[in-house]
Amino acid sequence: MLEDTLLKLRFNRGDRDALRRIYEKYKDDLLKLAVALLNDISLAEDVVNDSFVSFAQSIGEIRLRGNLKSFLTTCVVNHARNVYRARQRKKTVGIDQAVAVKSNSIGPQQSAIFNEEYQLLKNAMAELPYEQRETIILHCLNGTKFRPIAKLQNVSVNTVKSRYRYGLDKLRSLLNSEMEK
Amino acid sequence: MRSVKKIEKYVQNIYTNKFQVTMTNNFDERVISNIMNTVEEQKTKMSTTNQTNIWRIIMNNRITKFAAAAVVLAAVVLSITIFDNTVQEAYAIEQSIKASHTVETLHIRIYRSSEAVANGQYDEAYVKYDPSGKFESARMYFAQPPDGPKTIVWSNNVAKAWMHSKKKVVIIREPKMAREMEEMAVQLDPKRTLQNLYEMQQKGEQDVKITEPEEEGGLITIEVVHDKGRDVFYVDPESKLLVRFEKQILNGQDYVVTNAMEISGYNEPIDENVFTLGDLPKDVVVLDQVSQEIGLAQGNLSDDEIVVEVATQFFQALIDEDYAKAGLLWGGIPPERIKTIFHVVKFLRIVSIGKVVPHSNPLTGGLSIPCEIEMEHAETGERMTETINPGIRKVEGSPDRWSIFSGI
Repeated sequence: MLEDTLLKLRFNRGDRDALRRIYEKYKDDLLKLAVALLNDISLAEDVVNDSFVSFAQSIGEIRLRGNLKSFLTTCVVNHARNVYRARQRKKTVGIDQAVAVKSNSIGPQQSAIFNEEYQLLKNAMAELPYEQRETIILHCLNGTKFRPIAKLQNVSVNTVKSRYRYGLDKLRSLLNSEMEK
Repeated sequence: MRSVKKIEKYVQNIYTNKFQVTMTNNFDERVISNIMNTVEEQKTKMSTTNQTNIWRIIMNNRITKFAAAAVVLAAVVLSITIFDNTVQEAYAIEQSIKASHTVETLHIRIYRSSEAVANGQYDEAYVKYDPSGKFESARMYFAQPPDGPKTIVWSNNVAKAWMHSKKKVVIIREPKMAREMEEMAVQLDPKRTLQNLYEMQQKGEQDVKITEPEEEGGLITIEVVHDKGRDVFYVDPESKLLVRFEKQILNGQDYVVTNAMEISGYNEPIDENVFTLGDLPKDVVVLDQVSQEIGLAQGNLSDDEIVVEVATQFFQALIDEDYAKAGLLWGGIPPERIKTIFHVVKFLRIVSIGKVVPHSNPLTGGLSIPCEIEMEHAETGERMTETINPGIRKVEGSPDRWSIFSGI
Protein backbone atom coordinates (compact mmCIF):
# COMPACT_ATOMS: atom_id res chain seq x y z
CA MET A 1 0.00 0.00 0.00
CA LEU A 2 1.16 3.45 -0.85
CA GLU A 3 0.44 4.73 2.62
CA ASP A 4 2.81 2.16 4.09
CA THR A 5 5.50 3.25 1.67
CA LEU A 6 5.07 6.82 2.86
CA LEU A 7 5.06 5.70 6.49
CA LYS A 8 8.23 3.69 6.01
CA LEU A 9 9.93 6.68 4.41
CA ARG A 10 8.97 8.85 7.33
CA PHE A 11 9.87 6.20 9.90
CA ASN A 12 13.28 5.73 8.33
CA ARG A 13 13.87 9.43 8.81
CA GLY A 14 12.95 9.22 12.49
CA ASP A 15 9.46 10.69 12.18
CA ARG A 16 7.66 10.11 15.49
CA ASP A 17 4.24 10.83 14.08
CA ALA A 18 4.80 8.16 11.47
CA LEU A 19 5.43 5.76 14.31
CA ARG A 20 2.24 6.87 16.02
CA ARG A 21 0.32 6.45 12.78
CA ILE A 22 1.76 2.97 12.28
CA TYR A 23 0.59 2.10 15.76
CA GLU A 24 -2.90 3.51 15.13
CA LYS A 25 -3.16 1.69 11.86
CA TYR A 26 -2.10 -1.76 12.98
CA LYS A 27 -2.81 -1.92 16.72
CA ASP A 28 -6.25 -3.54 16.37
CA ASP A 29 -5.09 -6.30 14.04
CA LEU A 30 -2.01 -6.97 16.15
CA LEU A 31 -3.95 -7.02 19.39
CA LYS A 32 -6.43 -9.46 17.89
CA LEU A 33 -3.57 -11.65 16.78
CA ALA A 34 -1.97 -11.58 20.22
CA VAL A 35 -5.26 -12.32 22.00
CA ALA A 36 -5.91 -15.23 19.66
CA LEU A 37 -2.42 -16.61 20.30
CA LEU A 38 -2.40 -16.19 24.05
CA ASN A 39 -6.10 -16.19 25.01
CA ASP A 40 -5.39 -13.48 27.52
CA ILE A 41 -6.10 -9.81 26.98
CA SER A 42 -3.57 -8.55 29.53
CA LEU A 43 -0.73 -10.66 28.17
CA ALA A 44 -1.73 -9.72 24.65
CA GLU A 45 -1.61 -6.04 25.47
CA ASP A 46 1.84 -6.46 26.98
CA VAL A 47 3.00 -8.23 23.86
CA VAL A 48 1.71 -5.46 21.60
CA ASN A 49 3.24 -2.83 23.86
CA ASP A 50 6.62 -4.58 23.92
CA SER A 51 6.57 -5.10 20.18
CA PHE A 52 6.00 -1.43 19.52
CA VAL A 53 8.60 -0.38 22.05
CA SER A 54 11.14 -2.62 20.27
CA PHE A 55 10.00 -1.16 16.99
CA ALA A 56 10.36 2.38 18.35
CA GLN A 57 13.91 1.60 19.44
CA SER A 58 14.85 1.11 15.82
CA ILE A 59 13.39 4.35 14.50
CA GLY A 60 15.82 6.22 12.29
CA GLU A 61 18.35 3.43 12.72
CA ILE A 62 17.05 0.70 10.46
CA ARG A 63 15.79 1.06 6.93
CA LEU A 64 12.43 -0.56 6.76
CA ARG A 65 11.88 -2.44 3.54
CA GLY A 66 9.26 -4.95 2.58
CA ASN A 67 5.80 -5.27 3.97
CA LEU A 68 5.19 -3.18 7.08
CA LYS A 69 2.35 -5.31 8.41
CA SER A 70 4.38 -8.50 7.97
CA PHE A 71 7.24 -6.93 9.88
CA LEU A 72 4.99 -5.99 12.80
CA THR A 73 3.23 -9.35 12.70
CA THR A 74 6.58 -11.07 13.04
CA CYS A 75 7.41 -8.88 16.05
CA VAL A 76 4.14 -9.75 17.76
CA VAL A 77 4.30 -13.46 16.96
CA ASN A 78 7.85 -13.73 18.28
CA HIS A 79 7.01 -11.82 21.45
CA ALA A 80 3.86 -13.90 21.97
CA ARG A 81 5.83 -17.11 21.53
CA ASN A 82 8.38 -15.96 24.09
CA VAL A 83 5.64 -15.10 26.55
CA TYR A 84 3.96 -18.44 26.00
CA ARG A 85 7.20 -20.36 26.53
CA ALA A 86 8.06 -18.35 29.61
CA ARG A 87 4.67 -19.19 31.07
CA GLN A 88 5.12 -22.84 30.19
CA ARG A 89 8.48 -22.90 31.92
CA LYS A 90 7.03 -21.48 35.10
CA LYS A 91 4.46 -24.25 35.16
CA THR A 92 2.67 -22.69 38.06
CA VAL A 93 -0.50 -22.68 36.13
CA GLY A 94 -1.17 -23.57 32.52
CA ILE A 95 -1.89 -20.63 30.34
CA ASP A 96 -5.26 -21.89 29.26
CA GLN A 97 -6.27 -22.55 32.83
CA ALA A 98 -5.12 -19.05 33.65
CA VAL A 99 -7.26 -17.76 30.85
CA ALA A 100 -10.25 -19.71 32.06
CA VAL A 101 -9.92 -18.12 35.47
CA LYS A 102 -9.24 -14.74 33.99
CA SER A 103 -12.07 -14.66 31.53
CA ASN A 104 -14.53 -15.12 34.35
CA SER A 105 -13.40 -11.90 35.89
CA ILE A 106 -13.37 -9.82 32.73
CA GLY A 107 -15.48 -6.72 33.14
CA PRO A 108 -17.13 -4.52 30.58
CA GLN A 109 -14.17 -2.21 30.26
CA GLN A 110 -11.61 -4.99 30.18
CA SER A 111 -12.96 -7.55 27.93
CA ALA A 112 -12.38 -9.64 24.92
CA ILE A 113 -15.83 -9.94 23.47
CA PHE A 114 -16.37 -13.55 22.70
CA ASN A 115 -19.56 -15.01 21.50
CA GLU A 116 -20.53 -18.61 21.97
CA GLU A 117 -19.06 -19.81 18.69
CA TYR A 118 -15.77 -18.11 19.40
CA GLN A 119 -15.79 -19.63 22.86
CA LEU A 120 -16.08 -23.09 21.32
CA LEU A 121 -13.27 -22.38 18.89
CA LYS A 122 -11.08 -20.87 21.59
CA ASN A 123 -11.45 -23.94 23.77
CA ALA A 124 -10.64 -26.23 20.87
CA MET A 125 -7.63 -24.15 19.84
CA ALA A 126 -6.31 -24.37 23.38
CA GLU A 127 -6.05 -28.14 22.89
CA LEU A 128 -3.63 -27.79 19.99
CA PRO A 129 0.17 -27.72 20.26
CA TYR A 130 1.30 -24.09 20.17
CA GLU A 131 2.98 -24.35 16.75
CA GLN A 132 -0.21 -25.69 15.18
CA ARG A 133 -2.30 -23.04 16.88
CA GLU A 134 0.08 -20.32 15.72
CA THR A 135 -0.03 -21.62 12.15
CA ILE A 136 -3.81 -21.76 12.01
CA ILE A 137 -4.20 -18.33 13.58
CA LEU A 138 -1.67 -16.73 11.24
CA HIS A 139 -3.32 -18.28 8.20
CA CYS A 140 -6.99 -17.98 9.14
CA LEU A 141 -7.03 -14.78 11.18
CA ASN A 142 -4.15 -12.86 9.72
CA GLY A 143 -4.32 -14.16 6.16
CA THR A 144 -0.60 -14.97 6.17
CA LYS A 145 0.43 -17.39 3.46
CA PHE A 146 2.38 -20.57 4.22
CA ARG A 147 5.72 -19.37 2.86
CA PRO A 148 5.96 -16.32 5.15
CA ILE A 149 4.79 -18.47 8.06
CA ALA A 150 7.59 -20.90 7.30
CA LYS A 151 10.09 -18.05 7.33
CA LEU A 152 8.67 -16.76 10.56
CA GLN A 153 8.75 -20.17 12.24
CA ASN A 154 12.12 -21.00 10.69
CA VAL A 155 10.89 -24.29 9.27
CA SER A 156 10.12 -25.59 5.79
CA VAL A 157 6.90 -24.79 3.97
CA ASN A 158 5.97 -28.47 4.10
CA THR A 159 6.32 -28.46 7.87
CA VAL A 160 3.99 -25.48 8.05
CA LYS A 161 1.47 -27.20 5.81
CA SER A 162 1.64 -30.28 8.00
CA ARG A 163 1.13 -28.23 11.14
CA TYR A 164 -1.84 -26.57 9.51
CA ARG A 165 -3.33 -29.84 8.34
CA TYR A 166 -2.80 -31.66 11.64
CA GLY A 167 -4.17 -28.69 13.52
CA LEU A 168 -7.31 -28.54 11.41
CA ASP A 169 -7.75 -32.30 11.71
CA LYS A 170 -7.66 -32.05 15.48
CA LEU A 171 -9.99 -29.05 15.43
CA ARG A 172 -12.35 -31.02 13.26
CA SER A 173 -12.61 -33.83 15.75
CA LEU A 174 -12.89 -31.44 18.69
CA LEU A 175 -15.46 -29.20 17.05
CA ASN A 176 -17.48 -32.01 15.53
CA SER A 177 -18.14 -33.44 18.95
CA GLU A 178 -19.14 -30.00 20.19
CA MET A 179 -21.28 -29.17 17.19
CA GLU A 180 -23.18 -32.43 17.40
CA LYS A 181 -24.35 -31.72 20.93
CA MET B 1 -18.98 -34.89 10.14
CA ARG B 2 -17.42 -31.65 9.03
CA SER B 3 -14.67 -31.86 6.45
CA VAL B 4 -11.33 -30.18 7.03
CA LYS B 5 -12.22 -27.65 4.33
CA LYS B 6 -15.44 -26.81 6.15
CA ILE B 7 -13.59 -26.48 9.43
CA GLU B 8 -11.14 -24.14 7.74
CA LYS B 9 -13.99 -21.94 6.48
CA TYR B 10 -15.69 -22.13 9.87
CA VAL B 11 -12.51 -20.98 11.63
CA GLN B 12 -11.96 -18.19 9.10
CA ASN B 13 -15.54 -17.04 9.46
CA ILE B 14 -15.35 -16.89 13.24
CA TYR B 15 -12.05 -15.03 13.24
CA THR B 16 -13.31 -12.63 10.59
CA ASN B 17 -16.81 -11.95 11.82
CA LYS B 18 -17.19 -13.05 15.41
CA PHE B 19 -13.94 -12.27 17.12
CA GLN B 20 -13.85 -8.80 18.54
CA VAL B 21 -11.32 -7.54 21.04
CA THR B 22 -11.78 -4.50 23.20
CA MET B 23 -8.61 -3.09 24.69
CA THR B 24 -8.47 -1.98 28.28
CA ASN B 25 -8.88 1.65 29.25
CA ASN B 26 -5.78 3.77 28.77
CA PHE B 27 -4.05 1.07 26.74
CA ASP B 28 -3.55 3.44 23.82
CA GLU B 29 -2.20 6.15 26.08
CA ARG B 30 0.15 3.72 27.77
CA VAL B 31 1.59 2.32 24.56
CA ILE B 32 1.90 5.68 22.84
CA SER B 33 3.55 7.12 25.91
CA ASN B 34 5.97 4.18 26.04
CA ILE B 35 6.92 4.35 22.40
CA MET B 36 7.28 8.13 22.45
CA ASN B 37 9.51 7.89 25.51
CA THR B 38 11.51 5.24 23.72
CA VAL B 39 11.93 7.48 20.71
CA GLU B 40 12.91 10.31 23.02
CA GLU B 41 15.53 8.08 24.54
CA GLN B 42 16.80 7.32 21.08
CA LYS B 43 17.26 11.06 20.74
CA THR B 44 15.47 11.11 17.46
CA LYS B 45 13.41 14.23 17.23
CA MET B 46 11.84 15.48 14.10
CA SER B 47 8.77 17.57 13.41
CA THR B 48 6.20 16.21 11.09
CA THR B 49 2.57 16.47 10.28
CA ASN B 50 -0.07 14.20 11.56
CA GLN B 51 -2.15 12.02 9.38
CA THR B 52 -5.63 10.96 10.02
CA ASN B 53 -6.81 7.49 9.47
CA ILE B 54 -8.68 7.44 6.20
CA TRP B 55 -7.02 4.39 4.74
CA ARG B 56 -7.85 0.79 4.31
CA ILE B 57 -11.34 1.62 5.45
CA ILE B 58 -12.67 2.34 2.02
CA MET B 59 -13.17 -1.35 1.54
CA ASN B 60 -15.11 -1.48 4.75
CA ASN B 61 -17.49 1.29 3.89
CA ARG B 62 -19.87 -0.63 1.70
CA ILE B 63 -23.37 0.16 2.65
CA THR B 64 -24.09 -3.54 2.42
CA LYS B 65 -22.13 -3.91 5.64
CA PHE B 66 -24.70 -2.10 7.64
CA ALA B 67 -27.50 -3.43 5.53
CA ALA B 68 -26.24 -6.84 6.57
CA ALA B 69 -26.10 -5.68 10.15
CA ALA B 70 -29.68 -4.53 9.81
CA VAL B 71 -30.69 -7.94 8.60
CA VAL B 72 -29.00 -9.51 11.61
CA LEU B 73 -30.87 -7.06 13.78
CA ALA B 74 -34.10 -8.07 12.20
CA ALA B 75 -33.24 -11.74 12.39
CA VAL B 76 -33.54 -11.60 16.15
CA VAL B 77 -37.18 -10.79 15.72
CA LEU B 78 -37.74 -13.43 13.12
CA SER B 79 -36.31 -16.20 15.15
CA ILE B 80 -39.53 -17.97 15.96
CA THR B 81 -38.85 -21.44 14.73
CA ILE B 82 -39.87 -24.85 15.92
CA PHE B 83 -42.67 -25.50 18.35
CA ASP B 84 -44.67 -28.41 19.68
CA ASN B 85 -48.21 -28.50 21.00
CA THR B 86 -50.52 -25.71 22.04
CA VAL B 87 -51.53 -24.38 25.42
CA GLN B 88 -54.48 -22.03 25.59
CA GLU B 89 -54.27 -19.15 28.03
CA ALA B 90 -56.39 -16.27 29.21
CA TYR B 91 -54.25 -13.72 27.45
CA ALA B 92 -54.91 -13.58 23.74
CA ILE B 93 -52.13 -12.71 21.38
CA GLU B 94 -54.60 -10.90 19.14
CA GLN B 95 -54.79 -8.17 21.76
CA SER B 96 -51.14 -7.33 21.17
CA ILE B 97 -51.53 -7.43 17.44
CA LYS B 98 -54.38 -4.98 17.67
CA ALA B 99 -52.54 -2.77 20.11
CA SER B 100 -49.44 -2.49 17.94
CA HIS B 101 -51.29 -1.84 14.74
CA THR B 102 -50.58 1.87 14.62
CA VAL B 103 -46.91 2.08 15.49
CA GLU B 104 -45.22 5.17 14.05
CA THR B 105 -41.98 5.40 16.02
CA LEU B 106 -39.83 2.89 17.84
CA HIS B 107 -36.70 2.86 19.92
CA ILE B 108 -34.90 -0.47 19.88
CA ARG B 109 -31.92 -1.87 21.71
CA ILE B 110 -30.24 -5.06 20.59
CA TYR B 111 -27.97 -7.18 22.76
CA ARG B 112 -26.04 -9.51 20.49
CA SER B 113 -24.49 -11.99 22.92
CA SER B 114 -24.73 -13.22 26.48
CA GLU B 115 -21.69 -11.06 27.29
CA ALA B 116 -23.42 -8.05 25.77
CA VAL B 117 -26.48 -8.77 27.91
CA ALA B 118 -24.33 -9.10 31.03
CA ASN B 119 -22.28 -5.99 30.26
CA GLY B 120 -25.15 -3.85 29.05
CA GLN B 121 -23.61 -3.39 25.58
CA TYR B 122 -26.19 -2.83 22.94
CA ASP B 123 -26.78 -1.66 19.42
CA GLU B 124 -29.49 0.91 19.15
CA ALA B 125 -31.99 2.08 16.56
CA TYR B 126 -34.58 4.80 16.31
CA VAL B 127 -37.05 4.23 13.50
CA LYS B 128 -39.82 6.40 12.22
CA TYR B 129 -42.72 5.68 9.92
CA ASP B 130 -44.79 8.26 8.10
CA PRO B 131 -48.51 8.51 8.93
CA SER B 132 -49.35 5.95 6.27
CA GLY B 133 -47.04 3.45 7.92
CA LYS B 134 -44.23 3.74 5.39
CA PHE B 135 -40.70 3.76 6.74
CA GLU B 136 -39.31 7.26 6.79
CA SER B 137 -36.09 7.70 8.81
CA ALA B 138 -33.71 5.79 11.02
CA ARG B 139 -30.74 6.24 13.24
CA MET B 140 -28.74 3.17 14.10
CA TYR B 141 -25.73 2.70 16.30
CA PHE B 142 -23.65 -0.44 16.06
CA ALA B 143 -21.38 -0.76 19.07
CA GLN B 144 -18.99 -3.49 18.03
CA PRO B 145 -18.92 -4.44 14.36
CA PRO B 146 -15.57 -5.85 13.20
CA ASP B 147 -14.44 -2.50 11.78
CA GLY B 148 -15.38 -0.40 14.79
CA PRO B 149 -18.43 1.48 16.10
CA LYS B 150 -20.71 3.08 13.54
CA THR B 151 -23.58 5.52 13.60
CA ILE B 152 -25.82 5.50 10.57
CA VAL B 153 -28.63 7.89 9.76
CA TRP B 154 -30.94 7.36 6.85
CA SER B 155 -33.62 9.58 5.41
CA ASN B 156 -34.77 10.76 1.99
CA ASN B 157 -32.88 7.93 0.32
CA VAL B 158 -29.53 9.17 1.59
CA ALA B 159 -27.48 7.22 4.11
CA LYS B 160 -24.72 8.77 6.17
CA ALA B 161 -22.40 6.37 7.95
CA TRP B 162 -20.03 7.68 10.59
CA MET B 163 -17.24 5.26 11.36
CA HIS B 164 -16.10 6.57 14.72
CA SER B 165 -12.71 4.95 15.15
CA LYS B 166 -11.83 5.64 11.53
CA LYS B 167 -12.88 9.27 11.80
CA LYS B 168 -14.76 9.11 8.59
CA VAL B 169 -18.26 9.78 7.29
CA VAL B 170 -19.48 8.33 4.02
CA ILE B 171 -22.56 9.87 2.45
CA ILE B 172 -24.17 7.81 -0.24
CA ARG B 173 -27.38 7.46 -2.15
CA GLU B 174 -28.25 3.83 -1.92
CA PRO B 175 -31.52 2.28 -3.13
CA LYS B 176 -30.51 -1.17 -1.91
CA MET B 177 -30.02 0.28 1.52
CA ALA B 178 -33.47 1.86 1.35
CA ARG B 179 -35.04 -1.47 0.58
CA GLU B 180 -33.10 -3.18 3.35
CA MET B 181 -34.11 -0.55 5.85
CA GLU B 182 -37.75 -0.73 4.82
CA GLU B 183 -37.64 -4.47 5.15
CA MET B 184 -36.01 -4.19 8.53
CA ALA B 185 -38.55 -1.65 9.69
CA VAL B 186 -41.33 -3.98 8.70
CA GLN B 187 -39.68 -6.84 10.52
CA LEU B 188 -39.07 -4.77 13.61
CA ASP B 189 -42.71 -3.82 13.79
CA PRO B 190 -43.87 -5.79 16.85
CA LYS B 191 -47.20 -6.50 15.29
CA ARG B 192 -45.43 -8.55 12.63
CA THR B 193 -43.71 -10.63 15.25
CA LEU B 194 -46.94 -11.23 17.06
CA GLN B 195 -48.73 -11.83 13.79
CA ASN B 196 -46.21 -14.54 12.95
CA LEU B 197 -46.59 -16.01 16.39
CA TYR B 198 -50.34 -15.90 16.16
CA GLU B 199 -50.45 -17.49 12.72
CA MET B 200 -48.12 -20.26 13.80
CA GLN B 201 -50.20 -20.82 16.89
CA GLN B 202 -53.34 -21.03 14.78
CA LYS B 203 -51.67 -23.63 12.60
CA GLY B 204 -50.73 -25.62 15.67
CA GLU B 205 -47.05 -25.32 14.82
CA GLN B 206 -45.97 -24.04 18.20
CA ASP B 207 -46.14 -24.53 21.90
CA VAL B 208 -46.94 -21.22 23.53
CA LYS B 209 -46.98 -20.73 27.26
CA ILE B 210 -48.47 -17.44 28.35
CA THR B 211 -48.04 -16.24 31.92
CA GLU B 212 -49.96 -13.31 33.34
CA PRO B 213 -47.96 -11.09 35.71
CA GLU B 214 -48.28 -12.00 39.37
CA GLU B 215 -47.48 -8.52 40.59
CA GLU B 216 -48.76 -5.15 39.58
CA GLY B 217 -46.46 -3.56 37.05
CA GLY B 218 -45.21 -6.93 35.86
CA LEU B 219 -45.15 -8.07 32.26
CA ILE B 220 -47.02 -10.80 30.45
CA THR B 221 -44.57 -13.41 29.22
CA ILE B 222 -45.08 -15.47 26.09
CA GLU B 223 -42.73 -18.41 26.11
CA VAL B 224 -42.09 -20.48 23.03
CA VAL B 225 -40.03 -23.60 23.65
CA HIS B 226 -38.02 -25.39 21.00
CA ASP B 227 -35.37 -28.08 21.04
CA LYS B 228 -32.36 -25.83 21.69
CA GLY B 229 -33.96 -23.38 24.05
CA ARG B 230 -36.80 -20.93 24.09
CA ASP B 231 -37.89 -17.55 22.82
CA VAL B 232 -39.49 -15.31 25.41
CA PHE B 233 -41.66 -12.31 24.54
CA TYR B 234 -42.53 -9.78 27.24
CA VAL B 235 -45.71 -7.81 26.68
CA ASP B 236 -46.94 -4.77 28.56
CA PRO B 237 -50.29 -5.77 30.15
CA GLU B 238 -51.71 -2.26 29.77
CA SER B 239 -50.73 -1.36 26.22
CA LYS B 240 -50.43 -4.96 25.02
CA LEU B 241 -47.24 -3.97 23.23
CA LEU B 242 -44.13 -6.13 22.99
CA VAL B 243 -41.42 -4.52 25.12
CA ARG B 244 -38.70 -7.16 25.21
CA PHE B 245 -37.69 -10.26 23.36
CA GLU B 246 -35.11 -12.78 24.55
CA LYS B 247 -33.55 -15.75 22.82
CA GLN B 248 -32.44 -18.24 25.45
CA ILE B 249 -30.50 -21.48 25.18
CA LEU B 250 -30.24 -24.30 27.66
CA ASN B 251 -26.92 -24.46 29.44
CA GLY B 252 -27.19 -27.52 31.66
CA GLN B 253 -30.38 -26.98 33.62
CA ASP B 254 -30.45 -23.22 33.21
CA TYR B 255 -31.53 -20.94 30.45
CA VAL B 256 -28.98 -18.36 29.31
CA VAL B 257 -29.99 -15.27 27.33
CA THR B 258 -27.96 -15.20 24.11
CA ASN B 259 -29.71 -12.35 22.32
CA ALA B 260 -32.18 -9.77 23.49
CA MET B 261 -34.09 -6.88 22.08
CA GLU B 262 -35.85 -4.12 23.96
CA ILE B 263 -38.49 -2.05 22.26
CA SER B 264 -39.71 1.22 23.69
CA GLY B 265 -40.78 4.66 22.58
CA TYR B 266 -43.92 3.54 20.82
CA ASN B 267 -45.25 6.59 19.02
CA GLU B 268 -43.24 8.93 21.19
CA PRO B 269 -42.14 11.92 19.11
CA ILE B 270 -38.51 11.74 18.00
CA ASP B 271 -36.60 14.98 17.56
CA GLU B 272 -35.65 15.35 13.91
CA ASN B 273 -32.07 16.02 15.00
CA VAL B 274 -31.85 12.37 15.98
CA PHE B 275 -31.88 11.57 12.28
CA THR B 276 -28.85 13.73 11.57
CA LEU B 277 -25.23 13.18 12.56
CA GLY B 278 -25.10 16.62 14.17
CA ASP B 279 -21.79 18.37 14.67
CA LEU B 280 -18.94 16.07 13.78
CA PRO B 281 -15.46 16.27 15.31
CA LYS B 282 -13.11 18.45 13.27
CA ASP B 283 -10.82 15.60 12.33
CA VAL B 284 -13.58 13.57 10.68
CA VAL B 285 -13.17 13.26 6.93
CA VAL B 286 -16.42 13.43 4.97
CA LEU B 287 -16.68 11.47 1.74
CA ASP B 288 -19.71 12.94 0.08
CA GLN B 289 -20.75 10.67 -2.75
CA VAL B 290 -24.14 12.31 -3.18
CA SER B 291 -23.42 15.95 -3.96
CA GLN B 292 -20.43 15.20 -6.20
CA GLU B 293 -19.95 12.77 -9.03
CA ILE B 294 -17.50 10.09 -7.99
CA GLY B 295 -15.28 8.04 -10.27
CA LEU B 296 -15.49 7.57 -14.01
CA ALA B 297 -18.45 6.60 -16.16
CA GLN B 298 -18.02 3.16 -17.70
CA GLY B 299 -19.67 4.01 -21.01
CA ASN B 300 -18.83 1.35 -23.57
CA LEU B 301 -15.71 0.16 -21.78
CA SER B 302 -15.47 -3.36 -20.43
CA ASP B 303 -14.93 -3.85 -16.69
CA ASP B 304 -11.21 -4.44 -17.20
CA GLU B 305 -10.88 -1.39 -19.43
CA ILE B 306 -12.63 0.95 -17.00
CA VAL B 307 -10.43 -0.31 -14.16
CA VAL B 308 -7.31 0.48 -16.20
CA GLU B 309 -8.74 3.89 -17.05
CA VAL B 310 -9.56 4.77 -13.44
CA ALA B 311 -6.11 3.70 -12.23
CA THR B 312 -4.32 5.53 -15.04
CA GLN B 313 -6.27 8.75 -14.55
CA PHE B 314 -5.82 8.61 -10.78
CA PHE B 315 -2.04 8.31 -10.90
CA GLN B 316 -1.81 10.85 -13.71
CA ALA B 317 -3.83 13.25 -11.54
CA LEU B 318 -1.32 12.73 -8.72
CA ILE B 319 1.55 13.36 -11.12
CA ASP B 320 -0.20 16.53 -12.29
CA GLU B 321 -0.94 17.44 -8.65
CA ASP B 322 -4.60 17.68 -9.60
CA TYR B 323 -5.82 16.61 -6.15
CA ALA B 324 -9.45 17.45 -6.83
CA LYS B 325 -9.56 14.98 -9.68
CA ALA B 326 -7.61 12.38 -7.72
CA GLY B 327 -10.08 12.76 -4.84
CA LEU B 328 -13.08 12.18 -7.06
CA LEU B 329 -11.46 9.07 -8.49
CA TRP B 330 -10.71 7.88 -4.97
CA GLY B 331 -14.17 7.74 -3.43
CA GLY B 332 -14.62 11.48 -2.93
CA ILE B 333 -11.75 12.24 -0.57
CA PRO B 334 -11.35 16.03 -0.24
CA PRO B 335 -8.41 17.42 -2.25
CA GLU B 336 -6.77 19.10 0.73
CA ARG B 337 -6.70 15.71 2.46
CA ILE B 338 -5.01 14.07 -0.48
CA LYS B 339 -2.48 16.86 -0.60
CA THR B 340 -1.71 16.33 3.09
CA ILE B 341 -1.39 12.60 2.65
CA PHE B 342 1.03 12.76 -0.24
CA HIS B 343 3.10 15.73 0.83
CA VAL B 344 6.18 13.60 1.45
CA VAL B 345 6.48 12.37 -2.13
CA LYS B 346 6.31 13.69 -5.65
CA PHE B 347 4.81 11.35 -8.23
CA LEU B 348 6.94 11.24 -11.39
CA ARG B 349 5.54 8.76 -13.87
CA ILE B 350 3.50 5.63 -14.42
CA VAL B 351 6.03 2.93 -15.17
CA SER B 352 3.52 0.22 -16.00
CA ILE B 353 -0.08 -0.81 -15.53
CA GLY B 354 -0.55 -4.55 -15.02
CA LYS B 355 -3.33 -7.03 -15.54
CA VAL B 356 -6.72 -6.65 -13.89
CA VAL B 357 -7.45 -9.35 -11.31
CA PRO B 358 -10.26 -9.96 -8.79
CA HIS B 359 -9.76 -8.09 -5.53
CA SER B 360 -8.11 -10.14 -2.80
CA ASN B 361 -11.24 -9.76 -0.68
CA PRO B 362 -14.07 -11.18 -2.79
CA LEU B 363 -16.66 -9.68 -0.44
CA THR B 364 -15.83 -6.24 -1.80
CA GLY B 365 -16.95 -7.22 -5.29
CA GLY B 366 -14.08 -5.19 -6.67
CA LEU B 367 -11.18 -5.63 -9.04
CA SER B 368 -7.54 -4.86 -8.48
CA ILE B 369 -4.74 -3.75 -10.77
CA PRO B 370 -0.98 -3.58 -10.09
CA CYS B 371 0.49 -0.21 -11.03
CA GLU B 372 4.20 0.54 -10.98
CA ILE B 373 4.72 4.17 -10.10
CA GLU B 374 7.97 6.09 -9.95
CA MET B 375 8.14 8.74 -7.27
CA GLU B 376 10.69 10.70 -5.32
CA HIS B 377 10.95 11.88 -1.76
CA ALA B 378 9.89 15.53 -1.64
CA GLU B 379 12.79 16.54 0.58
CA THR B 380 15.67 14.24 -0.22
CA GLY B 381 14.93 13.58 -3.88
CA GLU B 382 15.40 9.86 -3.25
CA ARG B 383 13.77 8.02 -6.15
CA MET B 384 11.89 4.77 -5.91
CA THR B 385 9.49 2.66 -7.90
CA GLU B 386 6.57 1.21 -5.98
CA THR B 387 3.93 -1.29 -7.02
CA ILE B 388 0.52 -0.13 -5.85
CA ASN B 389 -2.58 -2.27 -6.18
CA PRO B 390 -5.65 -0.04 -6.10
CA GLY B 391 -8.97 -1.79 -5.58
CA ILE B 392 -11.57 -0.44 -7.98
CA ARG B 393 -15.28 -1.11 -8.16
CA LYS B 394 -18.65 0.34 -9.04
CA VAL B 395 -19.69 3.36 -7.00
CA GLU B 396 -22.46 2.59 -4.51
CA GLY B 397 -25.70 3.99 -5.84
CA SER B 398 -24.13 4.81 -9.24
CA PRO B 399 -23.41 1.44 -10.80
CA ASP B 400 -22.42 3.03 -14.11
CA ARG B 401 -19.42 4.68 -12.45
CA TRP B 402 -16.23 3.17 -11.05
CA SER B 403 -13.83 4.48 -8.44
CA ILE B 404 -10.95 3.43 -6.23
CA PHE B 405 -11.97 2.03 -2.85
CA SER B 406 -8.83 0.42 -1.41
CA GLY B 407 -5.19 -0.39 -1.84
CA ILE B 408 -3.78 3.13 -1.89
